[in-house]
Amino acid sequence: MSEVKSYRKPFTPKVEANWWTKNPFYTRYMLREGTCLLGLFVSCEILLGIFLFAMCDLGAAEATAESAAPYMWWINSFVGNPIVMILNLIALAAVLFHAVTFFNMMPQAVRIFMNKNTTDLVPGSFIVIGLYAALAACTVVVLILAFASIP
Amino acid sequence: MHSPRSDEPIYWLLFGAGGLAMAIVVPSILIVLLAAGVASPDVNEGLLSFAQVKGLLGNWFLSLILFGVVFLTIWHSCHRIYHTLHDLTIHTTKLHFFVFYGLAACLSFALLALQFLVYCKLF
Amino acid sequence: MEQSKKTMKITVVRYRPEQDDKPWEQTFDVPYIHETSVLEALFYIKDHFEPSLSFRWSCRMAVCGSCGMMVNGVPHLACKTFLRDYEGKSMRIAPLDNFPIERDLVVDISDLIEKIERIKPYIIPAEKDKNMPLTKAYRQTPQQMEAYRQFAQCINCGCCYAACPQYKLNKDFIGPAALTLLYRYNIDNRDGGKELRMPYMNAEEGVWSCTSVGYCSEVCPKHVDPSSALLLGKKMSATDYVFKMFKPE
Repeated sequence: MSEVKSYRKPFTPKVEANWWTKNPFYTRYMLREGTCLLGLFVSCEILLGIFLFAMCDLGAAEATAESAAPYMWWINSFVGNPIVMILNLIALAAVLFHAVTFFNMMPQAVRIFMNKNTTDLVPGSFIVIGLYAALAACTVVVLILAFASIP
Repeated sequence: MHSPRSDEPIYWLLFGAGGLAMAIVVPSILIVLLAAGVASPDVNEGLLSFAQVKGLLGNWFLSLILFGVVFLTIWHSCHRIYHTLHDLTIHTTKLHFFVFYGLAACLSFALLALQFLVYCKLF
Repeated sequence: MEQSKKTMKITVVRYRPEQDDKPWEQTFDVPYIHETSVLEALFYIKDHFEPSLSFRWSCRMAVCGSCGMMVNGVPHLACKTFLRDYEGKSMRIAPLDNFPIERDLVVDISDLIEKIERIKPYIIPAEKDKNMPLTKAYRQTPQQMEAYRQFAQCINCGCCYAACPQYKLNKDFIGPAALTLLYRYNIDNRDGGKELRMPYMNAEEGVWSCTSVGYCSEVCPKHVDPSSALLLGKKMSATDYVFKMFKPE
């Protein structure tokens, strides 16, 4: 054992709960994580709609305002409520922000070569463009489906 | 010598699939909901009228897709909330785990049961 | 070409364990030219103002990984960061985040070193190559090398650990650099030690403590992209998990 006195006294700063406000990159990350709250909101909204739909009298041969009352409340008074519509608008912005961050991260999770002999990787832009195309295609299909099936 | 294996892969795979579903399908669902909110449909007329939804939920394929998307979005969201608690320096315990994944499981089960009920009634 | 001498206000975080209870700041006016790096600015401060200032450095050319430090809150190699890029602004140099501060800008990175050692960062021959004579070489195609080359560029500077919120919150996390090396050796076709390394990757403090913040890849001075290696590692670990579920050992 050495007789020399040690002056070592390592300093460890405390972790603050607001560490993510100190750097714009971290703030963006927390914003990305925050999109899940709105994802949960949308899920619950749809779940509520299906619950109220199930409460309706589905056996009636001719649907009336009375037999469809729970569902009509959901679509007109809940989904049509200005506050819920604003929340839906925020949720739309949030899921699109989530989509951008998710698509941009995707190339990092895929590392494939163009063919068996090359050292060229499949460019990340291929994957990102493919995902945006999928988003666009899916949106078109859902909108066509929603508007074309109006009786 | 080393820590036991984590069961995270199950939740991570659900989370990843949910992230994809939420990014690709949920925006269009929200656009339809917003449009329906503006249109304020009648029982038999308008966007997402009772009669239209009856037709959509009575289709097993569309029903299944809707279930898949909402189910995955629920798991994606709950997984992220659970992990973000840790980011906010909240020490997550087994209790938090059961609360958030339990919530996800309950919501998924409720969704499945309701959709199945609706489908059977309409069939 | 005539180069005019400009000066920049540089604030340096100081900590002297024998007399200070916590870090404090000291500001200097440092003259600089187009080529002045942060490391050279620190040399200037040490030579002209404060001989007691401590910082780690060695190669001055971004290969040794000694001079990682926080420049305006962002992890950088001091030798690879230039004052010209901060023109008109002030500069605050602090020791790397998330490591215990030993003295001034010197941090204790032994935790990083321990974790790199833990994941067996060397080629472990497969059973079939056990008795391969030393005169025989392993064959590797350019593609097989390209598969891991990017991840092998790490110089262990610790910038990714300073950038990682998950390491900040949980010091048990094996962390970006070590897990990237783990993945790098696992996908090397000359290696046969994957089964020995997987337990570290599969554990809670392995890849599963990562939440893909992505800042490690942003700050890495060697463009290693640890975030990508960890995502690929998660895929590897998840595949292994599903596989073992159906075919337990």
